[in-house]
Parts: sequence; structure tokens; C-alpha cells
Amino acid sequence: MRIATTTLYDRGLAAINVAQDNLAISQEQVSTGKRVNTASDDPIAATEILRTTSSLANNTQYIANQAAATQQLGTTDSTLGQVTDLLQSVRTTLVSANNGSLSDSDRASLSTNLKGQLDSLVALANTQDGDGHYLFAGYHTSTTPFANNGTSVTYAGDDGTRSIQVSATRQIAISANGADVFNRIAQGNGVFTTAAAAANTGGGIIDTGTVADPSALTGHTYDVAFTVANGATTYQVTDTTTNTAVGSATPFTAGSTIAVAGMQFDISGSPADGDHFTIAPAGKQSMFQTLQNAINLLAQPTTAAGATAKLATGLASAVSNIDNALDNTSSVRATVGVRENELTALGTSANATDTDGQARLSTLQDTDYAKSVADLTKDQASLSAAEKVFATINAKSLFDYL
Amino acid sequence: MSIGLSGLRAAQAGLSTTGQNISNVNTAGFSRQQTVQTASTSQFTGSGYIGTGVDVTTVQRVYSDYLTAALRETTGTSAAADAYSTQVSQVDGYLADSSSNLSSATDSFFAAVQAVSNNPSDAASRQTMLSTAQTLTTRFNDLSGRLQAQGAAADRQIDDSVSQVNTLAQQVAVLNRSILSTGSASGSQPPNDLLDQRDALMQQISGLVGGTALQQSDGTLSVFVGNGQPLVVGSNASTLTTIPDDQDPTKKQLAVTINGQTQRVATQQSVGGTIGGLLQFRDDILTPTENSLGQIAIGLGSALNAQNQLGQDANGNPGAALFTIPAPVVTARATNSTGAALAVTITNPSQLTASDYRLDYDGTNYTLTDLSKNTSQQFSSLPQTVDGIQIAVSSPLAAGDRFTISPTRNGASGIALAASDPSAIAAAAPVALSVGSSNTGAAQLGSLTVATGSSSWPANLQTPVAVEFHVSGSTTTYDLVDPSTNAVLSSGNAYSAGTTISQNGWNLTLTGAPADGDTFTVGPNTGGTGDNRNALLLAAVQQATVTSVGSAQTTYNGLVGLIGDKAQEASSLSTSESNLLSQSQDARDSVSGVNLDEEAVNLQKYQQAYQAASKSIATAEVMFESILALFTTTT
Repeated sequence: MRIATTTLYDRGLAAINVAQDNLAISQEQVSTGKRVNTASDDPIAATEILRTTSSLANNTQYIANQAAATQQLGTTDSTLGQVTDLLQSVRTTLVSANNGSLSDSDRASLSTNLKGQLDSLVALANTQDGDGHYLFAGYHTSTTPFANNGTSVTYAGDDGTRSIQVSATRQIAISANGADVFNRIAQGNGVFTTAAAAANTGGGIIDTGTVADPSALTGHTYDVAFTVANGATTYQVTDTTTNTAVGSATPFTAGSTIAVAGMQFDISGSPADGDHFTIAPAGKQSMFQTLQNAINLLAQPTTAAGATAKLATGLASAVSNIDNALDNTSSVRATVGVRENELTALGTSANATDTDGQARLSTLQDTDYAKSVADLTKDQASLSAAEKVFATINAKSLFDYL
Repeated sequence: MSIGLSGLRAAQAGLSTTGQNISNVNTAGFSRQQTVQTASTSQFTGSGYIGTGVDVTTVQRVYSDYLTAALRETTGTSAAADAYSTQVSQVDGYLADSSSNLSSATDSFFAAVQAVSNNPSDAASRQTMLSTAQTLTTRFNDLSGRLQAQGAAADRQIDDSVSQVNTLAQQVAVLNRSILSTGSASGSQPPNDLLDQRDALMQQISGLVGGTALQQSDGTLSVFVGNGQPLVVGSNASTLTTIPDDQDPTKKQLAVTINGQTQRVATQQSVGGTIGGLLQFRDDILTPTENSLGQIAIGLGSALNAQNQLGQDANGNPGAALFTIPAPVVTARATNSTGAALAVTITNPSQLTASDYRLDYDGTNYTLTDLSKNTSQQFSSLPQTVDGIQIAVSSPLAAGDRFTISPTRNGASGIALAASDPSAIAAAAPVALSVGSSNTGAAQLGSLTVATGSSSWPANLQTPVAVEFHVSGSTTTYDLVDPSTNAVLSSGNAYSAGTTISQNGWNLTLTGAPADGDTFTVGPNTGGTGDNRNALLLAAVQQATVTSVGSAQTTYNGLVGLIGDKAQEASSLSTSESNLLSQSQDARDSVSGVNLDEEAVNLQKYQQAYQAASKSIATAEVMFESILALFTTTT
């Protein structure tokens, strides 16, 4: 084939251009450390890189969220731990108060002691997190949730539970609202409460009772009325909800079990004529109220007739309410603990996701240095070859010999 | 002696042709020339025919019509592929660039939303969310601005190329006239250099606009562009111009003006060269990319707006729109009847496509054509809702009116941040549940959400409503009661685990079984500064389907992948076209190009022929001298 002189130059130039172009590509891959610098380098990898980068960014956010949640739950957990300790100390105080050898002034000092415990409990319930937000206020994180006005403790929070997104599919609750933790605590044995009437003058003491047959429960309120006539003590149970007598008057033996509508309880001591005891379905009462009632109870002198029995009944019910409060606190703490465990598991999985994602990203976009450096060397060699060939071919012309 | 003289002349002609070839070794489009010499008619003598020397018949260019046409054609396709590839790779560059792409801005924004959801009452987090929202809108505006700047540059390049084509066409017409005047067609000598010049001009025209050339019998060259629109006929050149496309007035179309008459170049596909490549880039890359970005901007912005409007801001008010969403672009054809106008509004942002639409009215029916899918549907009346937009007539149309609707064209360039106050972020839900203080059942709040679908709070959303449960045996029912008046709103509604209780636009689910007499009250969320329920829902928009393709991320990934594919394809096409071009160039040069070594040989050849001819004259002279000497000696 006949070759035009310009063809020689054009081809030589084209060969050098191609070699330089390849060299530039290898150089970019080596200097940036990235194999894919624009989408056209590898469109499939490029979209995969975008997707992976974005999911890594999300994952990093989830890890940060998990840290925030862990911190929040940790604060909640330790606060609830302190609440438990405090309630246990209150319980000890209440048990020790139920001792006949104590004088009114001894009890008054216990009452003062409990007042201090109440203040501590309110302070715990008003715990703030690191950002100054109240832990137990529901959504009202900027409002002091619990306030003690001297006779009762009021709640200014709401029933909200805050959640945080801790993985793509999981929102975890990071707070327990004050109403659930401190306020809505079952009274008595959880099903019904027992109480002595304020006007009782006898020494009858009622215990907190138990449920004998859950299917027989009616949810009604009952009254146990005592009559002492001619040295014989009898009692009559009345359903005060329907205002009907249950059974007939029964002779009373101290400490014997009285069973009504699936419930059973003991009345010990000696009730006086006209004494009443009330059995009512258990409602909810805040632990502050329980404490306040105990404070009020211990501050009462025991000089009046029947006061000692009322004190004993009141203390028994207070202890039972504090037990319920302890149960409730434990169960809230348990759910907090479960969430903390879940966060630990999620954290492990998020870290694994992060590692996997980084590895994936590296496979997708990182330069294979061994290969790229080899390419670079090869491209350099082919560039100098192209230059050499160009110089050699164009060095000679027939005109040199003319 | 005359024989020697003819040889001398022939060698001289050969030498000057060789000289011409050597001088033009680097002249573009030059075809090497050869002298054609023939022995002159010999003289008959008794001893046979005696030669009378040599005639130079003509100087011809070594030329192949076929190879020149092939070179012209590959010049056109290669220039088109090159222009297209250069433009696409720019778009590809900034869409996928890790610092300027949309993904990084979206990711930062949603990270900031998460930060607000973690700490809704923190002013700094809210401010960060607004700042990243600003960055997000700026990123949309920037990407769109780059596309528009590139489009404007492509437009300028098209206009420059068009005027260049017109200049070249004029020159071809002038050359046609000169060539015609040499009368070469009727047998006189060919004007080689004029022909080469014309071929070179024609090749330049091909590089700019493609086109075909037809050699006429009178020696002139007719040039046609597109699918047969005449650019040069004989010594007349017409003018190439750009006018708005008849099908889609938002686009440019090429046209040829002949004697004041404008002929459209029917399809863009038939245009080659740089202009063809740029037009293809405008139609296939620029507009779809702009639309697709707009689709993401409108989809994402609208979804965030809708969610924010369902929430409650830091001041306890209904959330407002966070972003300003641009309206669809409607372009009327220039020839439309006076006053005809359409009103196009977005009804469902997540159904929008990246297509443009054309609406034609024939006097009875409206035909709507999806320009990217090329499918159409007919309506006998408007308004109609199609693909998330509602098309209505705002001022009556006449038969033959045509509009182009680009629902998302301004989405990316026009999206802006509407909120300026960090408290405008609606992190809280507008309703809160309060659990009755004497409830004995285990029922607790499952979820309390505001019904989606509306762009503002449903009426009476915050009016307190109490849900009262009644349990009788295994049957649970609930009543809805107005807690202030105790008026029963509805009663005896059946309840089982997981039942959604709805009223006034909220939906409530509970977990755990309620007991008889339990009450739950749904009411306004006052003082809920720590409430992050709506912030969590705002964060969920990241994964939600906000366009007809999917989430914002998916849509953007699709766009990047598509442009990456196109750029890769364009780049390999450009490489192969440029290889084809150099092959055609080599093929043409192997016939018509000058080889200096060859010319050195020719130079030597003609020089020696010249010397030999001189020698033969000298010999003749010596002979003549010696005869003369005879006479001189005798006398």
C-alpha cells in the first residue's frame, strides 16, 4: 500500500495521543486511588457506589442515634435504680414503724424522715438528661414534670413516649413517661384494697387480702360491718355497689378468713361494735401519694380509741402499695434493660454493616494498585515506544541523499 | 532538436508538478497531481515512423470519488459523535462527582432531620436542618444551573456552527461558479486546485452539519443537508437557520431559507456533524436530565412539605411548607390562536414523570402525547388529570392550537427554601393521647398519627375526643365522647386487638387489652416540646417513594446510571468513529496524498529527463555544429 507522508505523521501523532490518553487514565487512577472517577468509567459500579455511600451515611446516622438512645436509656436505668433503692429504704422505714414499742414522737420523727424521702423521690422523678430535658415528662421535656405542693404531687407531663430511629426499620422508645413510672401504680394487692373506716374504735386489723378465685370477681365494693352484742361479735357483708346483703350475719373469730366474691382477707384483733371495713376494687395511686399518706399516718398520735389498729392497717396497705411501686419500677427497668440489650445487638449489626459497606465500596471504587501501577508502567513504555518510532520513521527522507 | 525541446518541456512540466506536490504536502484536501504525457504523432518516412517527441496531455489529480465521499461521510459522523461525547461526559462528570452530587446533599439533610428527631427542642439542631435544607435546594439549583449553562454554550456553538456553514456554503457556491466558468465539463483542462478546495470546504461542511454532495454534469457540486434540503445548488447558496421546533417549541430545529422560503429540516436524526451531535445532546441528555432532576426536586420537596404541614411547629401552630415548589412550564406554539392558554397544576407530585407532553386541539378532541414514550391519549374535554398533573383550559383554544407541557422542567432550577425560622420545622405531632388516670386495663398507646393525604390539618383535628371502652364478657366496644359536654359522638363500635380508631383525621391504635371503663383522650398536643413523632416521619421521607421511579435516592441513582451509560456509549462510539475517520483519511491519502520520497524519486526522474533532453539538444547542436564546421573548414 502506498503511504502518504502526512499519514506517517498522523499515525505517529495518533499513536502518541492514544498512549498519552491511557497514561493519563492510569495516572488518575493511581493518584486518586479510585478506579471509578465518573459514572461512565463503570455505570453499574457508579450507581452501586452512590447507593452504598448513601446507605453508609444512613448507617453512620443510625450508629449516632443508637449512641444517643443508649445514653438516654442508661440515664433512665440508673435513675430507676436509685428510685428502687429509695423505695426499699421507705419500705424498711414503714416496716420498722409497725412496732408497738414506738412512741408517737418516734413515729413523728419517722414521718419527718419519710418527708425527706418524698422530696428525694420528687427530685429523682424530675431528673434531667445531659441536654437539660426532663426524663420522665413524656413530650413535655422542657417542663418540670412533678411539683410537690405540700399535700400532693402533681404531674405536668403527658403520656407520650419519645422514640429514636435506630435502624432502617426500628424505632426504639427512649423514655418512660412519669405517669407510667410514678403515677399509675396499682393499690392494695393489685385487685382490691382493704381499709378500716376512719370512725373505727375497736382493735380490728384487716390485712391486704388475696384473690382466691379470679373468675368470681365482681368488681363491686363491699362493706364488712361488725356488731358486738352480748359479748358475741358478728359481721355482715354488704355489696355496697348494688346495696344488697351478702349472706347473713356471721359470728366473728379473730384471724379467721373471710371470703367474698372470690376475694379473701383476714381481720385480726377485736373490732368494736359499729366498726366497718371496706373492700374496694384496686385503683391506681401515685407512689408520691402512697408516701404522703404514710407521712400523714405516722404523724397522727395513737391516743384515740382504735388508732393503733388503724395505724397497723394503714401501714400494711402502705407497705403493699410500696411493693407494687417496686414491682412497677422493676418492670419499667426491665423494659429499659431489654431495649439497652437490643441497642447493643443493633450496634454490633450496624458496625458490621459499616464494615461490609466500606469493604463493598472499596471493591467497587478503589484502585487495584498492583494492576494500576503495572498499567502505568506499561503505558509509559508504550508512550516512549510511540515517540521513538515516530522519531525514527521521520528522521530519514530520500531528500537526505539527493 | 524539437524532439529534445518537447522532452525538455515535458520534464519541466513534470518538475513543476512535482514541485507543486512537494509544496502542498501539508495542504488539507490537496490531491497529488501527475502530468500525463504521450508520445506525439510520429512522422512516416520510408524507413518507418520516426518519433517527433512528447506531448504533455494534461495535469491530472490522483483522486477517488468514492474515497473522498467516504472521508466526507466519516468526518460528519465522527464530528457528531465527538461533540455529543464531549458534552455528555461533562454532565456525567458533575452528576457523579462525589463532592457536587445530589446524594451527598440529600444525605446531609436527612442526617440533620434525624438530629432534630433526637433532640426536637434544640434550636441548634433545627438551625442545622434549615441550613442543610438550604444546601439541598442550592445543590438542585447548581446542578440545574450547570445544565442550563451547558445548554446555553451548546446553543451558542450551534449558532456559531450555523454561521460557519453559511460562510462555507457561500464559498462552495463561488467555487462552483469559477469551476463552471472554466468549462471543464465540456472537455477543457480540469481546474485541479479549485476542485480540491471545494472538496476541502465540503468536508468542513460535513464536519459541521453532515449532509450529502452530488456532482452535477456541469461540474458544479450540489450540497444537501438533513433529509434533502438544498444548501448549495450551482452557484446559489441558501441560508441555514435555527427556529423553534414545530413539535416542541421549547427546542431548536434547523431550517434552510431558500429565496425567503423556510424549509424545516424534518428530523434531528438526519443532521450530522457538530450541530447534529449538539442537537442530539440537547434532546437526549440535557432536557431529560433537567426534567429528571426536577422530578426529584418536586417529589422530595412536596413530600417533605406535606409531612411538615401535618405536624406541629415549635410554636404549636400547624406546620407550613418548607420548600417552594416550582409550577409546570407550559409553552405555546407561536402560531396558536390569540389568548389561548392552559392552566397546568401538579396534583400528585409522586406520580410525575420526567417526560414532556404535547397537547394538540383539533377543534373537538384534545390529544396529549408523552414525548419521551411517544404514546398519546385523546380527551373530549378538559380538565384531565394525567401522570400527576391536571391540565385545564384557562382561556379557550381554537383548532390547531398546540402546547408543550414540561411538568418538572423548572423543578431543580426553581426549588427554594420557604422556611426561614427554625421553629417552622414541625417536629411534633398535633395530637397527643392521655391515658385515663383510673384505667385498670393493660392497654397502652400503640400509635397515634394524623391521616396523610391532605396538605393541612384536617378540620377539628385537635378537638378533644374521649375513647371509652366497655367490656362485657368477651365483647369489647368503644364509645367516642366529647369530654367537655359528655355528648356521645358514636357508640358501640366493635373493638378487637389492633383495631384502628379514627376520628377527626387522626388514627389511634392501642396495644394490650383495655378493661371495662378505661378511657383514652385524644386532644391537642400542648407543651410537647420533646415530641419528635413528626420529625421521625420527616426522616422517613428519605426512604419513601416520592417520584414515579421510587425514593429520591433511587431516582437519582437511575439518572446517574443512565447518563453514565450514555457517556460510556458515546465515548466508545466517538473512539470508533474517530478510528473510522483516520482509516478513511489514510485510505484517501494513500491514493491522493503526497509521499515526499516518491516526489524525490519523481524529482530525480524529471531532473534526469530534463538533463537527458538537454543533452539531446546539445548533441543535436554538436551535430549541427560539426556539419557547420565542415562548411567552415572548406571555406
